[in-house]
Amino acid sequence: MRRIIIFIIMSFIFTVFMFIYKDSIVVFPNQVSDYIKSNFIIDTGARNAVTSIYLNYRVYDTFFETLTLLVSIIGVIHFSKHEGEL
Amino acid sequence: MSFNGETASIILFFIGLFGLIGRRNIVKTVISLGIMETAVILFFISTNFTEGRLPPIGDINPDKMADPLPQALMITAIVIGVSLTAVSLTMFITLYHKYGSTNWAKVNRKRIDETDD
Amino acid sequence: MNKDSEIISNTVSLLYPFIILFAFYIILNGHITPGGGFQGGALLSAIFITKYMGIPTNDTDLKNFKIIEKIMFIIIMIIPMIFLFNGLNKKFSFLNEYYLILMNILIGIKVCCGLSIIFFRFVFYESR
Repeated sequence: MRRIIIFIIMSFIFTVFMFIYKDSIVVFPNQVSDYIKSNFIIDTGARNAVTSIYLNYRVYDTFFETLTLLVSIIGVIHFSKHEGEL
Repeated sequence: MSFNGETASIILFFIGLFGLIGRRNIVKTVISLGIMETAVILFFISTNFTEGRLPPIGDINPDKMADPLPQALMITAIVIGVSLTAVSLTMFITLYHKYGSTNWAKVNRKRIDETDD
Repeated sequence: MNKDSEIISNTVSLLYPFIILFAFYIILNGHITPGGGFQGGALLSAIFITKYMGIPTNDTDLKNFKIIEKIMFIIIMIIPMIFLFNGLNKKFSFLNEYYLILMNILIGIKVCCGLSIIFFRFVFYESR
């Protein structure tokens, strides 16, 4: 019974959301994208635009992503309590 | 209105939200978090995309290129999702060995009983 | 898991060199083709997973993985600080390509170590 009520509420929210979403017009600010698309070969020497973004333009992303992976591994080792040696 | 990637991602997001609220199994909660994260990734990839764009590799015309910025952001999001799933499953296994149940409500009741004693 | 499966160990030992080749192809060509450090690192960790499926032993030492991962993280922090933040990429523009290849290799090794640690932790300690 609880699940059916939640399902009905979810369907209602989804219908309202789609009703609002179908008329909305999103204007994307394309300045950054246009700059990267026309200049990435000269600026970074990469021929793959995705590599040029995550290693040159937005290198902080890579820093903190690798830090997140390191912290998650520390968490995996720390959270598993078991008998015997760690 | 056409059925494109954004519509599919919104449907997936609500499926994940239903699983998060309506289910009381811990493993199903982790799976629902994964579904919601996949929906967000699909939304970012398929937004600002029109038919006939080329992948952003090589020196082709910049007007015909797909937007490379959300793709670079989503590489980060995928790796973070893997680490999130790994940490939450490890926490679940330790919790299961301590309380012996996969139900949120039963685990909560046992914890309250434990702190009362 | 069945310890002595002839089919799995034979198939895996056939597939082994091709996985290594494909992983290094993806990492080393990450700046000109689709691919890069993260994807190639995931494939490199598939090497260790297939090795465990072929020969299920419990004596893999996780300490080396942890040390390599921390050293790789420090190197990943240091190299862009020297190369990008001092403006050297504008002065010596011929070094750009080598910088991308080096960073892709470092990220690949780091992601490989991380995913292998997660897999071996789950297999060794959590499967009670």
